[in-house]
Amino acid sequence: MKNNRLIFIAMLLLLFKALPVLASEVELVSDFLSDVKNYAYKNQLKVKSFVTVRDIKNIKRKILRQIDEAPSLCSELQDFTRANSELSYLFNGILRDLKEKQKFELLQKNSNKSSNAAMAVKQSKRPLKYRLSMAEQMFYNFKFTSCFVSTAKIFVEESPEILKEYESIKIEFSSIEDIETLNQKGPALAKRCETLLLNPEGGFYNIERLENIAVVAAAINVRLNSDDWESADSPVLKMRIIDRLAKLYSLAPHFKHKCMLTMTLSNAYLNIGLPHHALSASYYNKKDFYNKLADSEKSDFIWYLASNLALECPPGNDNSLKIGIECFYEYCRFIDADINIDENAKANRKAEIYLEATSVLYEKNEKYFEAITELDKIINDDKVYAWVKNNALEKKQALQAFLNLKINVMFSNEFMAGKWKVIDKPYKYVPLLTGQKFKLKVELEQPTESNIQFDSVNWYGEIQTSEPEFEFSFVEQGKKQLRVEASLLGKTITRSFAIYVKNKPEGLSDVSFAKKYPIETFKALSKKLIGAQTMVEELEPFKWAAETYKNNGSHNGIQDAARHAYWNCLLTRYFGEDYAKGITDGHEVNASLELFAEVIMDLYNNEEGRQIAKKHSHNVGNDYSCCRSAVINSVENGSTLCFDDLVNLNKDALLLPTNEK
Amino acid sequence: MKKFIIITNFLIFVFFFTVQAKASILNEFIPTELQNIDLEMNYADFKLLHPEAKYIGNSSENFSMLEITRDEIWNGCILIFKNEKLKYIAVLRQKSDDVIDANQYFNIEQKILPILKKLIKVFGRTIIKKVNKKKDNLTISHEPIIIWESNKNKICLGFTPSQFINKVQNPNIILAVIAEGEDFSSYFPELHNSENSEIAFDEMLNTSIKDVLYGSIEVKIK
Repeated sequence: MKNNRLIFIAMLLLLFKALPVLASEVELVSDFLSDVKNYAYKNQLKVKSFVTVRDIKNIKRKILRQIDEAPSLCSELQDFTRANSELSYLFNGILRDLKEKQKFELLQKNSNKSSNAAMAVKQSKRPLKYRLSMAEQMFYNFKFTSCFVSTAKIFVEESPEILKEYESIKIEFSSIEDIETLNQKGPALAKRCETLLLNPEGGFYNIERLENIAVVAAAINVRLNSDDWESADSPVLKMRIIDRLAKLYSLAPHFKHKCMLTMTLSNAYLNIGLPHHALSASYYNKKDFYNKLADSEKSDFIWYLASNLALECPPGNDNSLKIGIECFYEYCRFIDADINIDENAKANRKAEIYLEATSVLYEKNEKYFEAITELDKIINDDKVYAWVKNNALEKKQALQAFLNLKINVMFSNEFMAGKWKVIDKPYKYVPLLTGQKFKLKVELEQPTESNIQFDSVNWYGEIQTSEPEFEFSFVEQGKKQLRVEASLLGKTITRSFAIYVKNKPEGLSDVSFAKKYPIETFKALSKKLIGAQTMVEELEPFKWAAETYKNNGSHNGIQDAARHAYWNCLLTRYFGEDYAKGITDGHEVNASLELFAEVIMDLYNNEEGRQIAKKHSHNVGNDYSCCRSAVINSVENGSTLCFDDLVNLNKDALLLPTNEK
Repeated sequence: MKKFIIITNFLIFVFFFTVQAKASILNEFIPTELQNIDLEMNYADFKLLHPEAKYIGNSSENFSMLEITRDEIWNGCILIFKNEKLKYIAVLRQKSDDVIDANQYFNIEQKILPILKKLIKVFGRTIIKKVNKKKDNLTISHEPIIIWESNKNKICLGFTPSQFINKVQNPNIILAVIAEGEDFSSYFPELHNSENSEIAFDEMLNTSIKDVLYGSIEVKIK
């Protein structure tokens, strides 16, 4: 009896001990499931704002952390997805990551332990000065993908030997503390990195590790040729690393390496704030490897382009918009082809993409009609949930209201008698002389019955102010990129444009310059490359441009632009850049101030012509064909400028690239 | 008295003869087709005489050129007018695109020496030496320039030395006469002041030219 009592007490004690544990486990599972549900819920809501997208990422991280701490939760997640099959597509990524993580841990188990300890000891001994400024800085600052850790775990198929070599390189690189050691160990280390990267068997797949190794190799190569040891984080050095990565790309023997290096390269561009370059690099490189990838890899890659790159691109670049939309559509085709998802789930997933991605991209680029077309696809699809349709409808109504508004950036100069002209395209340049005053303003064009005001206006670039209208002048010449952000109705609308500032041509007139170089001038006259105003029609540049660009703006139009570029190309080719510049810029010296726009256009095209000649200096033939074809190319790709309006010449002219005519 | 008259007459004769000789020797350099051109002539008269001239500018500042077709040495003429008056006239020999052997074409012994000898004969050995500096590794503008100052005009002989003929874009020989009061340096490219680009005048001359130029104690270098 006494024994029974003792057993009972012991059991009670055990129960008291075990209860909190059991309770906490139950609580843990319930917390976990609530996070899982929250994740599913927010995923369906994420169309509403980008804040929600950030929340989703945080919840995902939390879920992964919980599974990391309590691996049994993984089966809870699997049960949940089995029970809610229509939502399973939301968790495919997490489950795949988990599977790969387990595999990775298994592979890493033996190779990591000793090396990590050695690294920790080594790091603590390093002087602080070097810890931040040298090899470590290279290693950690150049990790372009730190924000893409989840994507980094896509492919984990490296052998233990490769992982071992990877860790060994990492440790050895981190141990380099000065330029002498780098000189000593660098070349061999870079060679080892490149061997690992360019393994023809294609054994190195994890993007984060691949990127680390690529960056180490690139950093060593760049550093060994750099005198400036302290500027490890400079943009110039990063650009050189990018060049090196591009070179590695061209050498990569295996298509998966090409794919990974493309992502590395694009992430590197993102890191230095060039998202358009990042998107273009990935998009144009994909022809080398995309068709060889498995469907799931293709879909991952295309999603990377669409969501990681295209959505990062600021508005105003039609090519990036086109690529972004194409990628989102391509991704939708993968959804259509997925046999594991039922039709309703497919429709909703696509609705989510149209809503979140394509309409956002169009909206961001102020292509409201296109955005509305995307939204209509959702509204008219019977399989799409009602609440998604409502979201789309709300968004459509807001856009339609917005369509009635027009936000104009306008400029005025001293010769426009107080009138304003709209800078209607971001690629048009406002021509301006240094010191010349001009006015800028942003204005809202709206139906008479509405009275909408800007909440705020902010100008960025070389002019920074929050005034809606102001007067300004530039003291230095060059292309000035400007941007104005106007906020209204809860939206921020951006307008980008550029001002092309040139110094007023001063110094010798063309004739005074010509007489300083009598021999060159004699020859230029004899070749009919220069001549009196009265016989200008007999001159080679005039004749060629008039024939090639017949009826195409002989004064301030395309023909004019081509003529100046061709004229300078020929003069540079025959007599050198200085002579060409002296004669052709001297031609503008005595022009009246009112003709400043024409003068700026001519100076710009003159410069382009000289650059063409310099680029083609290898072609030493004496015929004119080289300059002719190069100028035609320049006109076609918009490297030359002409007036946007040939009727109202000069005073309010904007300059636009010749391929935009 | 008679002696005095004879001496005076002799001196007058010598003076006129010298002037006449100078004038006729100058004419020797200029091809016959250009002998109707004089310094200080009007731009309008020139246009009437040579409507075929190509030019840039207007009558107040004008650079005209004529192609010479019937002369053994010269193949071009440059005329610069200022305020309607001819201030600079030059004959030149320069390579056309179809000439392959530029060295042969600008054979110094054959082309420069006879001109130089004639110039020394007329104007003596008192010269101003002028040499342009190297523009870059490839381009050198008509160096050296040897300048004689006569009472009224400046006579400039410029040529591309044989060692540079294949390196420059426009090798040439140029003989220019510049009107009184005109600063000759405004008719030639400016000097480039980059360091280590100076070329010594004497180094630019080959031996035969040095012999002709410095072959006497009368040489005076300003």
